[in-house]
Amino acid sequence: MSINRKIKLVKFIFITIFWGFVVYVFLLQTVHSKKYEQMAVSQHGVSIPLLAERGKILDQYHRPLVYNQLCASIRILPQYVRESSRDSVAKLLASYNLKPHSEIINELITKKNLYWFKKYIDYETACSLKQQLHKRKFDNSIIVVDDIKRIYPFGATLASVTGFIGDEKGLAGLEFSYDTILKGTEGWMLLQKDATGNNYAWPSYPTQKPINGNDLVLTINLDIQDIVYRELEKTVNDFQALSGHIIVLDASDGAVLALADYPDYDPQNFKNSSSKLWTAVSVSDEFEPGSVYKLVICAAALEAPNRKTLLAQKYDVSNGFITVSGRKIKDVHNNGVVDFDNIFVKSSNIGVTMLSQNLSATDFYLKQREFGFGLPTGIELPGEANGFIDRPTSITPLRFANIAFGQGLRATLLQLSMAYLTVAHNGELLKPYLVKEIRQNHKVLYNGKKTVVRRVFSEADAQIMKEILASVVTDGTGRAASLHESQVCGKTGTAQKIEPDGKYSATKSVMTFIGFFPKDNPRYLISVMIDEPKKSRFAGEVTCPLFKTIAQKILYLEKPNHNHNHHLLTYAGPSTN
Amino acid sequence: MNRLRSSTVIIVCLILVAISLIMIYSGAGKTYFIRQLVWFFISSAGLILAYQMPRRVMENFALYFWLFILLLLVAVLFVGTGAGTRRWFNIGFVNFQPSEFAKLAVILLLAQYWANRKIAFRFRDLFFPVSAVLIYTGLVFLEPDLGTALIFLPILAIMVYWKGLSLFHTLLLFSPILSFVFGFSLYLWIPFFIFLAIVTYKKSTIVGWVTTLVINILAGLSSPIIWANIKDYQKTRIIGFLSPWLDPKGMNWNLIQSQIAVGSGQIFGKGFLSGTQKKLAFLPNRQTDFVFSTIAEEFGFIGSLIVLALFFFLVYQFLNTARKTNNEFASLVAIGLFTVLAYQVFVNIGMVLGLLPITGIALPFLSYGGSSLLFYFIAVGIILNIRHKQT
Repeated sequence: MSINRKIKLVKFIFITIFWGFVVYVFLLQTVHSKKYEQMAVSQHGVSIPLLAERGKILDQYHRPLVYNQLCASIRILPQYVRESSRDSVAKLLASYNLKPHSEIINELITKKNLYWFKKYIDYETACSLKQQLHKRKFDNSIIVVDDIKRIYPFGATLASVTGFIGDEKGLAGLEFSYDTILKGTEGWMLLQKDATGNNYAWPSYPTQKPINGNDLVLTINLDIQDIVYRELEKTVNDFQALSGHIIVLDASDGAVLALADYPDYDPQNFKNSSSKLWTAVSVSDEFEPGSVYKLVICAAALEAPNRKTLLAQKYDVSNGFITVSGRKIKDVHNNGVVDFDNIFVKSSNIGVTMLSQNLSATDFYLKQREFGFGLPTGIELPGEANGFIDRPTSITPLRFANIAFGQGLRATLLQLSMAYLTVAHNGELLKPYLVKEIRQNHKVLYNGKKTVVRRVFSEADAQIMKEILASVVTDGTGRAASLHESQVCGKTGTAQKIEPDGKYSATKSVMTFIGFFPKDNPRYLISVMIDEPKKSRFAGEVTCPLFKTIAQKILYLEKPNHNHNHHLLTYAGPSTN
Repeated sequence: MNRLRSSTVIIVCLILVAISLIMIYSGAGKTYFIRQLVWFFISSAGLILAYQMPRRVMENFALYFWLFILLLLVAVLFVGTGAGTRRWFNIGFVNFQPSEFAKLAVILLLAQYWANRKIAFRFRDLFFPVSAVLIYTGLVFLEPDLGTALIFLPILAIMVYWKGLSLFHTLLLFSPILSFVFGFSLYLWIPFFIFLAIVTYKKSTIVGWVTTLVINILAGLSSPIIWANIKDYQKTRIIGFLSPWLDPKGMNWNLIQSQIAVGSGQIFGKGFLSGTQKKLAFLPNRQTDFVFSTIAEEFGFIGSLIVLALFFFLVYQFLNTARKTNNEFASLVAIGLFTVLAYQVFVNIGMVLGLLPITGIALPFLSYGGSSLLFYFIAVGIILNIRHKQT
């Protein structure tokens, strides 16, 4: 074999291998490179979340109702605390009054892995502690991290409106229903992780800054809210009631100025309270309204085809009862012979029953629906109840009479308030609202506006109903609610509660008063509900005085010489942008 | 023309060493950089010495050199150091690896033995060179350093073929080794054995035929036995090579990390000092055995292509030298050096790309390591010596 053939063979082999390598490297680094690139990134890329600051909740004058405070939290890696230094670590932490010495020692011995030693300690303390830890070289096992604490400065006063957060998530109230708007968008930062798990910042890597949450400006007036809560608290305690609930609406546009439940919980420590308190009861709970519901049949009668005869007729209720389908319906007092207006002024069940016998059940049903009963109002709070009204096909004469004076149906206090607001607003049903603005820094993203849902009755009928409701306060069951400053229109209600055996209770009742003022161009509507007051049987003695006190204080706030540095305004909260 | 090519060879070597020094500085730091720089100066002296050395001296001292290295290879088994092995002599501030010079000793001895001597496929013509190679292979294997031990076999194969043995006889000579390799799987070994039996039956005597078959059966049988006795890390490497994604975090870590480094380098690379696999310590041995993946990661396909081209040029020049010289000793030395260079480049890059099992072999000129650099500079010196001094 000649040397030339040999050299050709050797050359061929080595050139083939070389080209093979070139082709293989080419495939690896171009065609398949994406796959390897992804593998490399998934191996060394670490994404660190950057927290967004949750938006604040402000009242209509931009006073903070909920805000955030920079604080710190402490985590401990007990496995890195040497046995010999346990005592000095515990002493150091105890010297900051974080936990007692013995408890810390116990935790260090029993806990095995990273745990939260203490959440939300104040920032200055944390800074000083951090320095001490660093100086004494405990900072590898005791870790102080920045944290953000949600602050609810007014606690239970506003709890039903604001709700609360847990684990950075809104869990109740507006915190829940506006969670996505309040929480903002988390940012991230890419870091590199080496084979041993250390992280490095990498300047050319992209960083996504967090977008802070939007602020909510509510229609709530903090001054009114405070008045309402304090007065409600007083009444509930005075009458040893189970609970009390109040809504104050702006009668001109349906904005909620105050909404309070008593008793309520502290959103800061929501875990220590019963979950039953976490909702706004006036929105989420249905009840049998009783006499306040007579407004509906009044409207139905005024809008009925036979309205003339109904208005002209006299109603003899002196018998003391009326029998419908074999059942007796009674009045509390003997009211003699009454005209149309006095059926409502005296709150006569017999009179209302007589009206029901002259009306069409379907028309009445439709009127209830027009008032918005049986459907949620659409307020921004979570968990709103629908209420319940019977279908017209299942309404018997007895049932019709019952419903006419407010039994055999369920409604929320807010639905009833909106029905009365319809009278105040000349026959137009409004949609209630709580959120006045959604703001991103100084930019307003959303404006809450007055929304007219529909016209329920004519302006003329509204005027007649206003007169009736005004007479209730001047001559009828609501006398205790009358004001010197302004003419009040309103209606009381005392609904007996149903006992577990299905019968109406003789002692337990829900008392309400819903009223608005001034009669001409009403500005405020206040609905008051007291559940099971022990010391009184009539709404006139419980809810009317409460209404009156609140109304007077609100009017006092309005006086031109009134100093707007109300006690709450002296609260030194953080600036509100 | 000749002089121009020779100076290009020097320049290519210097470029490779420059790349190596940069990668060592960026990947391992100043200390390693300075050590390699010192070795570079020592190696340059070695190159000049090899260039100046009369070929007669090389020929005359080949046997003594072989014996001297034999002594060192035995000695290193007793006093050597290394991570779980005995590969290096620790002399002061540097380590010295005798197996690097064993390659040179074998090449010189085989060339000296076959120069001016006829060769045929006969026991007496092959016994001495085969023994000389196997003794070295065995000693290096005992260190243990499988990668370097295997280099001696291709040296023998190419040199014996170059000297005059036919392709068939060369394959026949190496058939026991092929049987041994195929012996790991019966499905490979049986077809190979049948093929061997048919081919040798036609071309040799009955005695030769039977001898060949017996030897091949023994070699084929020995591989399962040796498999049961080799070190776990060697087993792991072989299994890992055969199915790398079986256990990506364990035994195939190196292989996969290297592939990720090369693949994620893409066309233009991540940029100097920006290789994430390298910088974040995912890549093992990043300035020794896996230096090519570092280059491929940071300089991309362009960088890989340049390095491959530089090696191609060097290997080609070595082969050309073997072809052009009319002195048989010189030609055999050159072809031997060509074999070592080509083998190490192919096996190292093949390993880095995941085409061959990880045997722990350095990439010539680029990997950190003084003995290896010195050997290749001497090799270049000898090649230039052969080109310029036609005697």
